[in-house]
Amino acid sequence: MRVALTGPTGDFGTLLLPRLREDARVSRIVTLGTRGTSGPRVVHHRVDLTRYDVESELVDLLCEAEVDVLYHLAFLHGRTRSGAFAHEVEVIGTLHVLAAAARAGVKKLVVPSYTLVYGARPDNPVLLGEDAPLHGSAASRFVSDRVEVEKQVAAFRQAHPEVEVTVFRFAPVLGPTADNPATRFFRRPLAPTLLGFDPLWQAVHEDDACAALLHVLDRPAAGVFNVVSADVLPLSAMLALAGTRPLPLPAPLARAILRGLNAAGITATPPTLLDYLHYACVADGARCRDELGFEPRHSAREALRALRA
Amino acid sequence: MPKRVLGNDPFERGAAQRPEAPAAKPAAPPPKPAPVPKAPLPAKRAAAKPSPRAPKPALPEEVARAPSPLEALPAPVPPPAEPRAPGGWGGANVELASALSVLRATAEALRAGLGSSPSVELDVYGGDEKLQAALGPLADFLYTRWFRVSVEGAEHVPRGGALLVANHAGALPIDGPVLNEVLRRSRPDLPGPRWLVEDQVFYAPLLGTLLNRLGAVRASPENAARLLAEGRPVSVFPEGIQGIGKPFRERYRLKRFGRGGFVKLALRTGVPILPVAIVGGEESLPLLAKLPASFLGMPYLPLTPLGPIPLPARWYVRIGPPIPLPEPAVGVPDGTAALAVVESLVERTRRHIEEMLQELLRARGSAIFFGD
Repeated sequence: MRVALTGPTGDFGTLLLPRLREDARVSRIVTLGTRGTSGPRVVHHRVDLTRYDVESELVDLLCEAEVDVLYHLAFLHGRTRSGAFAHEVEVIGTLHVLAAAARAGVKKLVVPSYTLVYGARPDNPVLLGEDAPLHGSAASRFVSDRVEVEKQVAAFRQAHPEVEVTVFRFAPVLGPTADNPATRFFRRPLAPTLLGFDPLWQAVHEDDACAALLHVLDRPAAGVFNVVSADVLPLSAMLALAGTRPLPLPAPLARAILRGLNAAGITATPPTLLDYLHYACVADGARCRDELGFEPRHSAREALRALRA
Repeated sequence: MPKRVLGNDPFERGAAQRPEAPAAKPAAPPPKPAPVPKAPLPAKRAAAKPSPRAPKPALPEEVARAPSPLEALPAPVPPPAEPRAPGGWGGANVELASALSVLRATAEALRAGLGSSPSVELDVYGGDEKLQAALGPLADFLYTRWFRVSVEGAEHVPRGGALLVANHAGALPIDGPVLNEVLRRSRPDLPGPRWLVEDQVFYAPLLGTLLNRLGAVRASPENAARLLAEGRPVSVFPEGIQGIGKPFRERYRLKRFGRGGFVKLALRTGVPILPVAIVGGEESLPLLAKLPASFLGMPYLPLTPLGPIPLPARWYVRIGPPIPLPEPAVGVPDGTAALAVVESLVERTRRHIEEMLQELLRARGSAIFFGD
């Protein structure tokens, strides 16, 4: 089986690549990215998704390699230098990748996403199903870009029913190597919370996120699937397990402070992100369990403990 | 239409109808432990209770130490007798121990509301069974000694899910947890009962978090359907925030019943609707005024006599038999004809609750805080 990865040195890429190398089902791995990778059966091509003419380049490479499965993992979860650059890589890059995949006749496409795309809202049901609308978080670049990527993928699925597209919406991915806004929040010594609010959270261990991506390698798995821990934890317990001290602030004060800090240029965190500390955004993992037969092995508790490992 | 009985209580000046005891009326001291107003009471009550039984609801000591609701009532009467007299010294120790456990449970509840008791075992709804167990002594004290809840009709609740529709009362929505406790105690054979709370309460800082840990679920059709599918009795308060936001003089007068969401839910899921009347909430937490609280992100902050501490009014809960639903019981109503069906079912439920409320109020008479 021939597998291609975009973003092999990114967050999901660094997790998945070593496991793909060891996977007996995989005969060849084509990595497409700006930074090189190496290993047996790995062929690297330098591809810059922000270039305007990258699409034809991708088509050529995908056709030549006769790729069976394409993992589109070129997303920036770590600290980014600029939001505009990240938008270019993630949103415009995804446009190029999707167009190239269709033209190259890729049979299977796997795209990771986050349950954050549902948005933390007061009117969320207890468990959000995959069909819930993607409200995201308006002012947050990180969340909005992910919502936009999902919309592109959804449009692609409609236009190209012949391509099997799997979208995984992961609960915040935590683990010893993961670096994303959630891990950064939980690794802080002191994290702001909203006084009198303790919303429910979920998490997924990075090994489980990786296992989910590998699980669909040779299984039919068209559709969108939430991948979440079986247990639900209040934010306070998440912080306690992560060893982070909470700093409870009255909600209106916290928003005002954040707006002030942003105006002064000290932080660049949109106040709307505080919604995730205010309201729950908990997704239902039943479809993944019932239709794909995949369940995370680690609980949210274990994922949080792994954060400090 | 039967004359409204609003009860005869210390908060109502002059309007009370209490033909039996006209002596203690205008600006009367509340029916305090002092057995003065007891003498002219109807015979059934006098017979049921031998009057020389010292302070009727024997208050545990911590209530006397903490800002006691009784102390704060107008015209305080000197404490009539030593509270520990009946039990002797052994009884005092037991009282002290239980008082301490009640205090500890109260502190635990506060910590949970603030999110500073990191419990790691919640169900998907946010309920925390460990916390509920830890709060057992407090719940026990409030249920059996403070509110002295009496229950009728718990046998009407069927297996396999039911929608209990109740009146909403009192400045703080404690009728939800009380009704839940009623179901839990009187029907331990049913899966864990839950109640739904309106958004304004669910997202009130501290209060909402605490209620959620105690078992409250945000009111929405999806959440209710999920709970009912698990075969749980689900209590709803269709008056919503209107019900707890009405001034004390409008107590036990039902507000508009939302948009009939509970009827549509029952028709869709096929579970029965049981009307429930709850009396006692309004006197426990009378709403005196609404203070502006937008800085807390709340529509208002209710002003009550003792803040969050409820007054020790007696509670009466009556659960009625199921409201008969139209013949093809399961079906999603749509169209104008169906709308009329929904409307009429809402009205029937409302009227049934109204009648039960009036009956309970009439039966209660003046025995709001004391009496059997």
